Amino acid sequence: MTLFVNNIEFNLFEGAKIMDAARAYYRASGHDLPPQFPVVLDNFGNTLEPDGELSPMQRIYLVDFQYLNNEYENF
Amino acid sequence: MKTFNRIVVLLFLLTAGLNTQASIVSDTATVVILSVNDMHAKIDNFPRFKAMVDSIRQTGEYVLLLSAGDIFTGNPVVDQFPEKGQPIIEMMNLTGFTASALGNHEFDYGQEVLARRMNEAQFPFLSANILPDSSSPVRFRPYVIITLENGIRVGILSLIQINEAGLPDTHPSRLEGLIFPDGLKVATSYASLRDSCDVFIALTHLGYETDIELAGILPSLDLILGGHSHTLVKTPSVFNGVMIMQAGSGLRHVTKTTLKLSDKTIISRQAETLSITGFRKQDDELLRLIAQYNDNKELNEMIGTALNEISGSDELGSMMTDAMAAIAPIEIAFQNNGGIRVDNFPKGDITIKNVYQLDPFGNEIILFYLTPAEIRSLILNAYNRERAIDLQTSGISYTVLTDAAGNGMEVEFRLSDGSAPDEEKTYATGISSYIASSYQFDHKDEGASLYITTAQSLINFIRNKKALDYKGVKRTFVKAAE
Repeated sequence: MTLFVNNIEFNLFEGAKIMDAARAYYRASGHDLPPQFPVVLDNFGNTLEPDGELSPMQRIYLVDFQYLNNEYENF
Repeated sequence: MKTFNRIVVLLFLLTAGLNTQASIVSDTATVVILSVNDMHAKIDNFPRFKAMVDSIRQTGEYVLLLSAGDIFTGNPVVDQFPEKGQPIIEMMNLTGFTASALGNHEFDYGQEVLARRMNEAQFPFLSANILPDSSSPVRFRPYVIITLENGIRVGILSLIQINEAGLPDTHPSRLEGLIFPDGLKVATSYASLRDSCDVFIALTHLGYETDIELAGILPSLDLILGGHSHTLVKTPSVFNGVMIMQAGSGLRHVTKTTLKLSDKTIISRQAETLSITGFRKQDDELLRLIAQYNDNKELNEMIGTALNEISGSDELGSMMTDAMAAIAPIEIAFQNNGGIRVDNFPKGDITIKNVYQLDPFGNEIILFYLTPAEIRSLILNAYNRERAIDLQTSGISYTVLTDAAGNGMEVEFRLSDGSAPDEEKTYATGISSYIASSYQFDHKDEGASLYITTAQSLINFIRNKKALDYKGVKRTFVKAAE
């Protein structure tokens, strides 16, 4: 099924969960999934749990505090 | 005298005012609806949850407790109980649930087991878009109308998610004899239910975004309490006049919706999400029960015997992939070394606990139809992650050919009968959801979950085989360039 993670289109298997989408997103961006699972939000600003089930064409947004913190440290 | 008369009139007016006030008070009511969803057999928080529910019941006159589906699957203590799912039904009975929606995972144990659990439940399971034929042992009510002591009628309509194949997300073999009309189409046929109740609730297992669509087509609803997408709604949202809430998953949160009614008409709606894990009090009876369940003998049940020690990634991985390949229609299966979490199964008894120690992640099996070229791309990419064999396999044996620097360059593989694969054919290939989402490989087929975990496939496999011997089994090889 097609879905969007941080506005990037992914095709994942039917039955994929939030954690699968997060793994696919980090794989595509060349990172490992961070040890602290990112906060995942839906189109309406609600939090999604990692084991949540996805629907076709769904849009989710990953907020990775680990990388945010690193950026702050770099400042 | 005039002053006395004025006082009498004033007293009369004041009293009349109080009487009027009293009649208004008696005509208003507060209904509290507590709702959870996607508990997924996570029973450990039930002692806190019940204590919280009891405390709210002490302060509120009319309290309903609802579950929006997926009560099963996700905790071996419940899933592997001899009567699968029974512990959470007992918890829900003791906590006093009013009703539960059917979720897709309610079918995971099969319809016969579901029918037994429904018989034990002291609350109804609801779904308006599941139509069983005479061969199915389960029957569902589409809705229920609860009449409170003050006469207020609360209508609860329930709907379940269906996927693009027209079925809920579970293995299709568990759904024989059931028809699933589209929930949104069915919903409108229940619009007249509004006229039979004062509060109209949809208790859904559709997912948050489909709940918004439901609000669009059924604005006569007061409230949608949803599940399936594991959405934690902290700030109540109203779409098309319908408030939509959902409480995450795993019994970590509960939604508390407070409805105020005057003359049986809702005059205000408020909703908040409460943390269960942060609640201090715990119910003693449930604490004792949870301790008993968690100390259960079932996980120590012997399900088979290792005739010899099953040791290392080759032997353990071969066993795990054979278990996956035992599920139709899988012909070839793969397991990554990182997902093999023990060094060995000692010679002797194998228990359910051993399996969960070996494979604790809850990954599901994903079926892809792959060509030999696509299978080679999976093996090669996996090898080149660490320049080492990473995937154990069933249905084939393979050799990775490396260059002088150790990079995987080519893959040769043979089917288990020693023959070469048919390059024009696609093979039903099972891999874990972890590999499916984390590994790069060519595949035209999008893949689909079989909705069975790799651990469950191994439990089934060991139970069927009874005695296992993987001594010396090796199916993966590396050949360096000459």
